[in-house]
Amino acid sequence: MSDFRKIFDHVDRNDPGESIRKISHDLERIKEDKGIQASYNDLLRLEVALGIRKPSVAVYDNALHFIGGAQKYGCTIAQSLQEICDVTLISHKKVTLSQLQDWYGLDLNKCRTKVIKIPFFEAQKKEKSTFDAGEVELKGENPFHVVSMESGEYDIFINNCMLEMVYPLSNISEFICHFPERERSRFFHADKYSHIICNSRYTGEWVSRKWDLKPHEILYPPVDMIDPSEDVNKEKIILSVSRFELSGKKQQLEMIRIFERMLHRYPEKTEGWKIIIAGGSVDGNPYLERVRKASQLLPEGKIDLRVDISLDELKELYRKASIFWHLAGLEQRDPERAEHFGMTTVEAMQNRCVPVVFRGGGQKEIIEDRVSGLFFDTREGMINRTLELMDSLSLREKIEKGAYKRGKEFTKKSFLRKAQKHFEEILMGYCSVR
Amino acid sequence: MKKTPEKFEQALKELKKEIHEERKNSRKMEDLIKTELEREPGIWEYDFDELESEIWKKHAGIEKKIKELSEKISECSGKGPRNIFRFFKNLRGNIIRQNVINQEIISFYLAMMLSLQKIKDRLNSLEYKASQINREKDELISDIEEYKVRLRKKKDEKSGE
Repeated sequence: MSDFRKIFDHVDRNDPGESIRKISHDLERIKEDKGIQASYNDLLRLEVALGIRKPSVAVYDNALHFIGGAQKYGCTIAQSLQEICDVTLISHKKVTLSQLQDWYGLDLNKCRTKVIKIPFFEAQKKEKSTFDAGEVELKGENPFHVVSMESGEYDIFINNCMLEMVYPLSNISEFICHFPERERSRFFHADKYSHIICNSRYTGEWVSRKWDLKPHEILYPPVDMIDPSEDVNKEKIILSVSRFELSGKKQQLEMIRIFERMLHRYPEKTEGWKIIIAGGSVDGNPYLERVRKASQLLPEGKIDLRVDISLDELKELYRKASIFWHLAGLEQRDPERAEHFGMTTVEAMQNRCVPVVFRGGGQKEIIEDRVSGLFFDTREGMINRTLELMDSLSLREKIEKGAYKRGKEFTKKSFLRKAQKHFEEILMGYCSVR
Repeated sequence: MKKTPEKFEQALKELKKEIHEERKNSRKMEDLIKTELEREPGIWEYDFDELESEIWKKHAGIEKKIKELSEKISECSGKGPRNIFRFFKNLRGNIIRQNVINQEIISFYLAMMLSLQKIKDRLNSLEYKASQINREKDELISDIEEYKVRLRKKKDEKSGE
């Protein structure tokens, strides 16, 4: 018989004194055998199993105050759980619920927010909006102990920022991995979580290769950019939507060079076409400056750089563009530099843009070649696939339809369905007495 | 309405407060957790039932052989004990032979796994080095490309003049 079952059997509401004495005695024994956290966890579970309170959930993301796909992922899980659980969103810096609601169009009114500062990073002189866990010294104490302690206050702890250095103390712990960035180190605790959830099979494969851990669930990110209007006038626009990363991993610079080469080599075929490169950026981004400089070398009206645009402007671009380019991973050996899933590719597909993307990373799980998009492996391949589309309106229209149909498989609705099923199964086992 | 301390919920709350306080004062992870929770198997860990059915599917012939063997046994048992003994003697000889082969194969596979592991480690370190070189190469290509474009633009401007 499990420890929890024994404790549960001691419950007798008619004789609270004796009942509590027995429970207390058992908890003392559990504390001696398994540590104080185990006895506290059994008490937390007892409260839930007796219906005294709802299960409590913490969604931890140290970069929650930043707009990002991973953060949207965590917040959508929070939204899906808020009706049946008490959900707290924990971050490194202050962020309000209304900000999160505005950024992601989610209803989080039943959630709470909490800030947990990490003394190690607070002590650093330079003011940074996010911290890099790679800077942590692997000697001495784990700076994330404070987060671990907090995790033990909840029934379910969800680590949404891939911070493998946080040791989970809760009864149930979920590690959401968008890509395993670092190698195993002294403070590696991803293997202590009850479940590992990955955003794509590609990420799952790398969790397996890099950390020798097997994921439990593949949960593709929610993408909600569907344009339901059938009557769309597509223009001769190639669109790219990606963040201007400091490392240049989204390769906007290469896109400009490739487009410039196309204009030069095939002036007739590319007649009337232009490229629009949109994306967010941090202030003073040197990579963005290089992109700007390179864009000035293209003939006037052939390129449009759109930095930090609003959601409505972005929707308008998707609506007008015919072709969508995504190069991340091209000519790269580092698996981290490939697209781990490809949310913007799906956004484009949901707006009937034909994706022409590098055959690598998570993109392979989204697109069916020549049905819902086109793959390329080299620069030349990319040029040829694009010219093919520029040449043939019928091919474009055929793939547009396929892309739209496929894009609808990655909506928030399907994300919520799968996430809810996962958590309901967990909670069912947690609330019952075994 | 305020609950009386006699109520079970209230008593439980007090007990929780007590343990919570004790937990808060435990600074070391070893005091908090003495035995770790076991992880559930991941989706890519072997499901042995599935694996077994896959093996049977791949070696469907074995099932046929087993059937033949059982038929042979019943045939021999019909001809008296001597035939059965002879049959089992042969079978035993075959099994011993098969066992020797299996052991050789196992050690062969183990050696192969070890060398594969070594190759994998070597490849990983090479991959890391290659990614570093690749990054440097990318930067170089990027500079060359930029230079080319400038050159082409200048050329176009000149020819325009």
